[in-house]
Amino acid sequence: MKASRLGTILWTLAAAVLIHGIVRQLELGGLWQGLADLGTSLLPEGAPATGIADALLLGLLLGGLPLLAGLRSRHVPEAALEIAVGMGLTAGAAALLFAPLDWVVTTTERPLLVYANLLGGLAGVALATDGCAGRLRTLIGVELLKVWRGRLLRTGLLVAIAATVLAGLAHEPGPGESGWTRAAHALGVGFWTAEILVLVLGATMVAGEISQSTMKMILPHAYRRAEWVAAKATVLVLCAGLFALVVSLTGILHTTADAGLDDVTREAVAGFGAEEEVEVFQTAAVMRGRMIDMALAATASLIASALVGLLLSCLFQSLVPALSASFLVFAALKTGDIFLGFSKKTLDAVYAHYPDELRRLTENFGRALNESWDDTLLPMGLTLGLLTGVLCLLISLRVFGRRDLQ
Amino acid sequence: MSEPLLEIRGLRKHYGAVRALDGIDLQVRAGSVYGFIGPNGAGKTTTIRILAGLIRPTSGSVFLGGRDLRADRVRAAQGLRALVEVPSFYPGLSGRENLTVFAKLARAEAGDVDRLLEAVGLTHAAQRAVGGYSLGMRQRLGIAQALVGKPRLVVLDEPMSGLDPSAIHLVRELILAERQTRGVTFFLSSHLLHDVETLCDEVGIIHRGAIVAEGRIEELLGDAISGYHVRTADDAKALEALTASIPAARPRLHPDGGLVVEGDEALAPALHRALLEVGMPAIAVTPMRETLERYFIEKTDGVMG
Repeated sequence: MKASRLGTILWTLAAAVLIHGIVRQLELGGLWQGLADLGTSLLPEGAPATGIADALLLGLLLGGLPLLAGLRSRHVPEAALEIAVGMGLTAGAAALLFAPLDWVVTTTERPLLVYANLLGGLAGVALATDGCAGRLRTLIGVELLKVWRGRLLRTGLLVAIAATVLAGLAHEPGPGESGWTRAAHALGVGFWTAEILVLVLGATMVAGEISQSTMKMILPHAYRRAEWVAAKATVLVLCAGLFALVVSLTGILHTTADAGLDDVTREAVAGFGAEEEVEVFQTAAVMRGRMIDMALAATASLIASALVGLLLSCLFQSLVPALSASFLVFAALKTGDIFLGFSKKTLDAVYAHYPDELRRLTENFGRALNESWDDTLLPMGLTLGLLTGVLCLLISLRVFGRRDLQ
Repeated sequence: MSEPLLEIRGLRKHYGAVRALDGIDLQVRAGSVYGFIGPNGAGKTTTIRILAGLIRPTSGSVFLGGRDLRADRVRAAQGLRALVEVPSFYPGLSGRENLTVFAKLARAEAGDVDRLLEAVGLTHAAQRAVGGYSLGMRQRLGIAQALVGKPRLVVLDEPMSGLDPSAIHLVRELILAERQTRGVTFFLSSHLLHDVETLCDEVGIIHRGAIVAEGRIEELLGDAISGYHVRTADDAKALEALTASIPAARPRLHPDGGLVVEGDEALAPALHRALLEVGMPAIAVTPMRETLERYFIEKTDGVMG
């Protein structure tokens, strides 16, 4: 496929997901509601209307944008037929892909899809730029090889697994606590450890290369500095995702094997004519949904931390100051209420530790308090993660693109 | 004369009040080996760092294949390879893996890695982690990475540094072979003037941030006689006589025997006369041509690199 044709396709895809994200975010006019209503009418009761609405909107855009471009050509009838078929197929495929995803994230008003679309759109725009896709692919491959073959990632994963398992084992369940409490403790420590590790990984990305003088070996090649930063950021995002996956799976598997992750129950004491019975506080399915919410929000936080590390890495000429600054930032955010006088509420808003929320909930269940789940946790986590990550990436691009490397 | 592959126009780099480069202009022809020499701190590495994209010039332009390296780096730097100072690699990766990283960056063919490992004599150590390599082995690997893929211009900063004599010979042969078989252009910075004289077609001498001489070596040095090597029956007595009669020629004993005097063709009659006056005619008088070392010293006010 010619690069120009590939570029056109990528631009179309990028524009489609961007517009889709904006429409979803702003709920523009009656378009979104109309699509949602259509979804409701087409699907059986209880199915997520938003999923099919997403699919329809993306299908329309993916089909419609080339149509607008095609109107300028002389082959409109043929193009229109192709586009109509393409729209139908795209809508069907998108429905299959996105509806289950939307099911997972039903607890939020702004589903994950919106953010994925916006990021996908931005990435698509970058990829569609002249020859950029191939260069980025090469650089990402190179960065993945370097990170994977380096000791830091593999050691870090082992440390994160060990921390998660040990935290689970060390937790002594209180009266009335379920396996979910143990899982929340294990995940809390696991994500804490992972947070430090991805911060370190991010801090080594550029400053480490400058320190060991490999930067001067790679920069002469025909790539833009911005492409290097983008590749490193992509690999960091993948690493943060890997850490989140490994910690989550370790926590869940370990707890399932050890204590079980069943329904959260409470024994009602017999009396006043009532018999003793076991009341289900929360079903395992609901708890799983909350754990997924927590894990996704914590993953966004990990990604943001990794990109904070990358930014610090771009600011310093050598590794030691970059690592020191990373630890200082981490410590300041974790202990800012004690040492810097920030209010706990402000700190929690800026740098929340999402597993704590799950732990608090499960501990309250143990105290027979049927607390409600904070539905803003996931959108808040995703928004904070996205904003921090994008901001750090933009500053990193700016800083690294302009500095002299000695 | 072929088109210049590399052209530097008015390149300046200032660090505050310090003028590391003060308006350099030079041209490197495609397929040539260009020697870039100068004393320490003259601006060689700054120029190479700008070429390698590590630092940005204060002003001026660098054109590679007619494209501005700063404005259109992705296209202009196609085929640009550089080895700046001591080569560094990822210590946890093996020699082969390190070279694979650079081969990927250069979008080179898979067989290139093995070919170059063999060319620089590192096949036996290819699987070892680079962290355990000696300086010489790193230098060889550095040369290999600079030649990976299809290089057009290879910038080498002190490529012979840290190499033993056999490795120096190997690198020298490699440069000449790459130039001859693939038409690769080399921009070579070195303190080893003998190597520069042997390898390079043209040189540029940089001193205090400015080019003080540039051109083909034979044109710069010319055919002019710079002195004579004199053999006599008694070198000590001849030295005494020459020192007394022609002190301006700075007569001195040559380590390999005989004497050396400095001067052009006009010195010859005075030399013979002085020796005949003490009854010691010369057995042989061999004229000496200008050397790059002497030329370099002359152009840089006697500052040795």
